[in-house]
Amino acid sequence: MSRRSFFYVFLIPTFVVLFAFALYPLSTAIYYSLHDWDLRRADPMTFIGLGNYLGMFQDARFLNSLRVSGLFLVGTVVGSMLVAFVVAPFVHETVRSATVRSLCLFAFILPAVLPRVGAAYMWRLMYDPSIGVINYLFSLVNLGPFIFLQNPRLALPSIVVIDVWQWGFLLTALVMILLREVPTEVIEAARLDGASTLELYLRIMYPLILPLSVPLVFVKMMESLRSFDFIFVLTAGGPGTATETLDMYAYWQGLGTAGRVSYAAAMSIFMLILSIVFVTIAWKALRRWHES
Amino acid sequence: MRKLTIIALVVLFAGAHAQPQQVVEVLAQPRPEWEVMERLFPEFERETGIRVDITYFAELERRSRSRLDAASGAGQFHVYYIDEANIAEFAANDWLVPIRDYYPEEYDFDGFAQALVDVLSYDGTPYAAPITKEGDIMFYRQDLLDEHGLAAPTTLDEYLEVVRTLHDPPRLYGTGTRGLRGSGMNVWRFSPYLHAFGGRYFDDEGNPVFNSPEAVEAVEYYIELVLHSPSPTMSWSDVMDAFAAGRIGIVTFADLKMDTLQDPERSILPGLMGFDIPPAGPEGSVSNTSVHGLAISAPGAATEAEREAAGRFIAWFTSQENELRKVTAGWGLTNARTATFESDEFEAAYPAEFAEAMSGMLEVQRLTIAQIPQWGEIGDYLGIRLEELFTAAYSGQPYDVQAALDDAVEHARQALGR
Repeated sequence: MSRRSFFYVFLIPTFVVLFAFALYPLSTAIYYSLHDWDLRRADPMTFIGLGNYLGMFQDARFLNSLRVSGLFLVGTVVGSMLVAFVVAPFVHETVRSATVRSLCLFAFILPAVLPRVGAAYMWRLMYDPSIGVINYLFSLVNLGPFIFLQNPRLALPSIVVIDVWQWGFLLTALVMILLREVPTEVIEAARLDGASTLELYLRIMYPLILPLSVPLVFVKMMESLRSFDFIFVLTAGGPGTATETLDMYAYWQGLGTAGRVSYAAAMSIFMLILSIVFVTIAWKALRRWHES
Repeated sequence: MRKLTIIALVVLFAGAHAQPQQVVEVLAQPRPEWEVMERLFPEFERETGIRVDITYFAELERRSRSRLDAASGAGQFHVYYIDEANIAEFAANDWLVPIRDYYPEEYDFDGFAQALVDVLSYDGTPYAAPITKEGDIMFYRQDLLDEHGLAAPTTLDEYLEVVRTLHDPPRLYGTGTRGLRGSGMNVWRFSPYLHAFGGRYFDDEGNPVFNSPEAVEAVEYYIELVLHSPSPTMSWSDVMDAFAAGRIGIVTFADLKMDTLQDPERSILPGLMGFDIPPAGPEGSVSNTSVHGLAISAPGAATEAEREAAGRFIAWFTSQENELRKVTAGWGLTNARTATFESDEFEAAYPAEFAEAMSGMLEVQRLTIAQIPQWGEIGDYLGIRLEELFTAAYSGQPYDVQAALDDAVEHARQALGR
């Protein structure tokens, strides 16, 4: 066996797995998305080209789900990063004992260790207007009861809060580790020059660790795009369509209730293209910024 | 290696020589009385040599899963659990086999209440054997009404008055009503109100007309009920649990819930309840009609032998004997045979006042939804609009009933291709 064919043989398992779990489902989804297949009718599939894709843009519920997905993505990514970049320096500056720091790290990682669905059920109870602990706390100061998940305006922000709670603190833990890696000479030099803590962070610490946190942003972004299970437990897309993300709508259209499989497939393909384009643009922009 | 090959061959041949056992795969939805029935399965298996395998899915998933199984031709299941909302879709697409062709004579198909068989028929042909029916009963807390010196309401206006008087949150809510979206959720509970106010979903030509002034009035009334509920997005089980726990004063919902409500282990209410038919609107009192049944899947039970086995299982499950066993086990309402409801066992199991309300209910029951294949989609969309109205009202935000119904009607027109 030549060296070259030896390589190919070893690539086979990878390609078999890739084909079975990625390429085959993807190409089937593309095939379905170009046809008109409705589970409620027994008639055979007909080819309709881009019909499903064009139909999406006249579908107000689809456009709404696009907006909800966008808001959820921006809200959770920005929220998590804000928490990380505010809480981490605070702990870094105030806690000196190594043991307490380790305890903090442990506590910050804990929410992310909880299964998403479990965390969602826990928060659903906490948000409950009559038996939830949040409303109990409000009632101590004679406020409420507030409804969170059943209020069309509060539902999405309430879900974003849970996601930020799970991810923001995990990112905080990671940023704390990054902060520890900043060389002490740099910090001491800045201190000698009379920099305040705020100046130290704005001019030295953040610029030094930001490039290293870029991958964190991407991980969080990808994670935010896959929050189906989490939102399903909390609101299933409601009230009305206030928290109906793109994947949630595709589920309802495809398998949930309507049975419009090809339309749902078209939405999934659209979501895939959108994420690829979005992530590529963001990646390039960040790299350019990093290089400059 | 050689050893392994021999073992594999032995296993293969042993499998080929074993008597092939007939298996009936059933797709069902979890219900408490099925637990009682499942304990009896070994008896059926001993008698017939047919093994029964059940896969449970909650209501919404059960509907979509059976549709996927039939439409894709996968045919994993021989028997589908089916209801009044999807029988038309399944029968029109030839996904079901006419039930009488495989329901053995000796099990007496004619013993089912004819009205229930009619609901599970399409174009005059029965496609499923009924296993349970439900209609609406007004359940109220007799003790609380006495405390306030109130009489049991007979009209919708009086009903709302009682709800308002009893309402004292968070200790006690006047009522509880379904707000959670879905054709089988809020739309189902809302439908009798639509009819009681004189509205309809479709006119005689099949055009959607549920944005009429009567429909708007019905939605506005329903919103009043939602505003006096513990939450604007309750499911039927939320409502039942809240009532059983004594947190709700008066409620109109399915008669079947009586089995839970009179069980002292799951409810504080035994002895405290009063019952009547649903309060009357301008068009009188209206109760939903829901009938669930078991049907034979055409793609799943492809061979004659499979259809016969599926038919035998369904007949055994719905037999007179098993219905009476359900009555004595505490699930007497989930039945479908006239003789069962007239039996001594049934009479002993329920208070006379409840039985009276139930016979009154039978007279005002009607099919409040439309039995068309597109109903699921139309109902789900309406359910979303209703949930938006309920939650906006509950949160004190502005809402527009007419605009929401106009939008749902427009969507229905598109779904119907009109």
